[in-house]
Amino acid sequence: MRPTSWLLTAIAVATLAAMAWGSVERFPPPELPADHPLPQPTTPAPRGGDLALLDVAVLLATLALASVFAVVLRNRKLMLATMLFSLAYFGFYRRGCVCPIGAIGNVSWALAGGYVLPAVVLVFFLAPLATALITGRTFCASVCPLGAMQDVVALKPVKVPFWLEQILGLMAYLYLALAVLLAWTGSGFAICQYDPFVSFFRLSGAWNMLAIGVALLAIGVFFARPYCRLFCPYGVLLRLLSRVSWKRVRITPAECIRCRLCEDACPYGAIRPPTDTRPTDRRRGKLILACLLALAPVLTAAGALGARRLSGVLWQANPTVRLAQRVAAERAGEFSDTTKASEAFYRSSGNFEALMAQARQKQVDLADGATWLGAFMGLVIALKLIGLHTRRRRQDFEADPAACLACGRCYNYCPVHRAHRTGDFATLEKLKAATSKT
Amino acid sequence: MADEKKNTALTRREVIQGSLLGAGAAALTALAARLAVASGPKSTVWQIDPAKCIRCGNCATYCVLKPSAVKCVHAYALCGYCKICLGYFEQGRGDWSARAENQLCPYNAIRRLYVDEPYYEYHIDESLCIGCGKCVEGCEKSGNGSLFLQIRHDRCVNCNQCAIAVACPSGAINRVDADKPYLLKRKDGKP
Amino acid sequence: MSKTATGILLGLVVAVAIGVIVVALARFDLTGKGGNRLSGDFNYDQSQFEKIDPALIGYRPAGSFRVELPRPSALAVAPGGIYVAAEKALGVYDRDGRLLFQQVLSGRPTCLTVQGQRLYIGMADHVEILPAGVLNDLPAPTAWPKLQDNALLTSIAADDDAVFLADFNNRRILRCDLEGNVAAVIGKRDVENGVPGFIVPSPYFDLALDRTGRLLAADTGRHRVETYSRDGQLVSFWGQPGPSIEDFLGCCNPCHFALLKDGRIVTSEKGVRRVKLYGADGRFECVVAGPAELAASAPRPITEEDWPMLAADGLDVLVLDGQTGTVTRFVPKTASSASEASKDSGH
Repeated sequence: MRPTSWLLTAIAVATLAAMAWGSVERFPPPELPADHPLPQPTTPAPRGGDLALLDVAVLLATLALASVFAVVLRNRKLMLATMLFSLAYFGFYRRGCVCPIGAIGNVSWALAGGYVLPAVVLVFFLAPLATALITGRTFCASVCPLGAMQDVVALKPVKVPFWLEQILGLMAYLYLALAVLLAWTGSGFAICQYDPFVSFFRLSGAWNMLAIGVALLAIGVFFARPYCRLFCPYGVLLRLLSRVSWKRVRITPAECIRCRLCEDACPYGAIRPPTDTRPTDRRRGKLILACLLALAPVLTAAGALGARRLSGVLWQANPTVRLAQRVAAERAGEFSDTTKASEAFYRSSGNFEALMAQARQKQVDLADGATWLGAFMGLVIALKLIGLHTRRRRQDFEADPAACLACGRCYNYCPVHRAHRTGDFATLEKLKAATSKT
Repeated sequence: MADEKKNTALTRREVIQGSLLGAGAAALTALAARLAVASGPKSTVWQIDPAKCIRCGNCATYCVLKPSAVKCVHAYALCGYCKICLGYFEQGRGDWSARAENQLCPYNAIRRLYVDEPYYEYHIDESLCIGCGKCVEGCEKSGNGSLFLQIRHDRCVNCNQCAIAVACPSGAINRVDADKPYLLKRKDGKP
Repeated sequence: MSKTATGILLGLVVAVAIGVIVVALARFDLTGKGGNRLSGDFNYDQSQFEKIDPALIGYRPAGSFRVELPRPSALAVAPGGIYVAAEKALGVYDRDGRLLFQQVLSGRPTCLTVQGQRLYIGMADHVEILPAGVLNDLPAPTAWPKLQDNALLTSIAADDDAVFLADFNNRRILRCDLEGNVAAVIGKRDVENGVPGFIVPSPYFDLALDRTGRLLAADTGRHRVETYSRDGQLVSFWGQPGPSIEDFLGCCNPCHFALLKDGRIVTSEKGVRRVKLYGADGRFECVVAGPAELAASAPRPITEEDWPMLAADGLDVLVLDGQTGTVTRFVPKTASSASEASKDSGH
């Protein structure tokens, strides 16, 4: 520091001190004995910033390891170990908080200008998505603690009809849209409020959430990973990206011999058998496709209009709207008492007109948001229908890129994989001969 | 012939796949760039603004932790060091001896220390405090308001969505900069 | 396990689980609607003090008016009118609330009194003086020098010989001559010389002069009103903390008091907002207004910062609510009072 800057600093400090001295002390302490010092309230620090960097490092490391284990090494045991480590770290050690799923709320709110998105949250949101582009949903298999919770209880998975899972799976899209909308309008982070497994990680919480968690785990014994497959809003994004991923989990390391051994290997119903090779009625197919394509804008518009009409339901989710409605009702004499919230409003000598204006703005935002939400859902349904109609032709057993959670359970079912591991190609040849006969 | 057809089909599929991957990567990069604009290096933590707090008691029961991460904090500099402290005594009893039943706190979490006639110093035993805010209300209503509620960061798990913030009727709980994690009451009466 | 058995078990588990989820979601109280669900022990309740036996109330409200001034901070009554000081402003009103005149001030006064032709204005750390009762062309105020030791004046009283200033920050009373020179310091803690000192935990430290020229001061930490001779000797005191109506509630009360023209003392309390009347000897006489009566003049819940400010007008009591800027006149219920007659003539 140069002498002049020293001088300036000294002047600034002196001025500040003089200002502090000159200000009126509203509560001077009583005349305590001189040997009795005035204690200061303690302020234990929150978890430090360097530990947040550790979280980021662990996330990136587990993602990288999971991808290598799943796609390069094709080693289920190492993936399982990664999963258990992630469950311990992100679940029980970090108690479920800082997680990419919940980051959807932060991101939406930051995009709406609600607050400055912490860089750590940004990385947590983006890293698994970027990984999905490269190696598919390896985050789901080995990093996500919510997934791990359900993974360990998937003891007796049953097959669910493809169409049923597709229909139930729409809930995840709705959940995502709602969560984005609510966070966008500053109404709260719904995903975190309804996180079913966070009470386990914290070993405490509201009984409701604990009950929902237990119920989901009970369902998860038979229907593996129900949250991931039916509700997870982050899964929606991962699905989309892993559809086009560069590398991904392939059941077989080489050529599929269509032995059908892997058919029942996937607890998540993500393995698709080879398609029918019989010629189909192409004319009829094209006609249906045309109809579905025409239906898409209709569904989108219908969704938009319908959701806009129903948007009043969402108003209650916003605290400003709730308060404004209550205060307005109290002023109109509909209630003889006050609530804690309305009382707090009166005490703060809050401006009623300003509150109403704010609430009206929120209502407009929520209605507009609901319109987008409806349009989105209409479009999703239309695309699902089109997707169901135009099923890709497959000659081999393949993992559905969207539904595959990259857990690698199918690897050991595949004789080709086993042969490549053990070097015992003789058995594989025998099996090949047997299957080609049938 | 069959093989050749298969090869071209694969190639076409690969081209589509590749362009989709490129589109996905581009979209993700665009999102990342947009988010980077809206982001900053600092983290946030939850804290109660004592100026907005109405001592409703929700902090004690809506926190995901039992007992709550919210505790009573004492701004000693604001305290009158009263002998008859209405954050400490149940004034309806009219008995100013420090017996348990005369104390306002159901858990007797306030420790009273004799300093010098007639001054007493009050300390919160955080291991007993559940953050119900009863003493804070007593101090606020009758005294100087030197007791107030704060989220204690040695306990808070910093949920992404603070459950008490959602249940707070006066909107007193908000995210604050993690570098300044407390909103302590100051001597000039402002938080 | 057979396939059917598994199927039945699966159906049962899924049905029960979905039921549990639905019930748990339906009974989920995220928004605090259900309140804190703590037992009554955890809720601060002073309703027992807020209900006041109507038989004890000896006054009734007789009209009120709003002063359109920012953050009213002091109240005084003089023959010329009702003086209300506020942020950088002084308003003088007649008894019906008509504004007689308004004056710009240099700051927010902390106390105010009118003595003869002088209006003394306490400005935190110094006193300013204006001529009282002049309706226009007020001169710039005469200001006394700033007091030492970071003084904070909370009350001021004057007669023909001296001006008494209550300095909250130093827990002392200053007696000044009419030129503003400090003549004596009263009540400053001095253990060696047997002066216990005032205990004033919060910035409410009121004083007044009685008809005989003796000084009355509120020792709020002891819940007492103390009488001093003019040279600072403690003569007598009365008042004690306690839950009964004749006692003072809270940690430091009475926060304000004023003397009626017959020497009786009217007090106001913080915590439970109430105004009570005591005889000159400190015997409890009646309640002037309880929380309900005071709330009537300030209909919405108030912040805890501004407790009712008082002034006596003959036998009437004027209460200023700092939050709403409402001045309410309370008159004795007994018809014999002089103010009652004058009020009737006013209508």
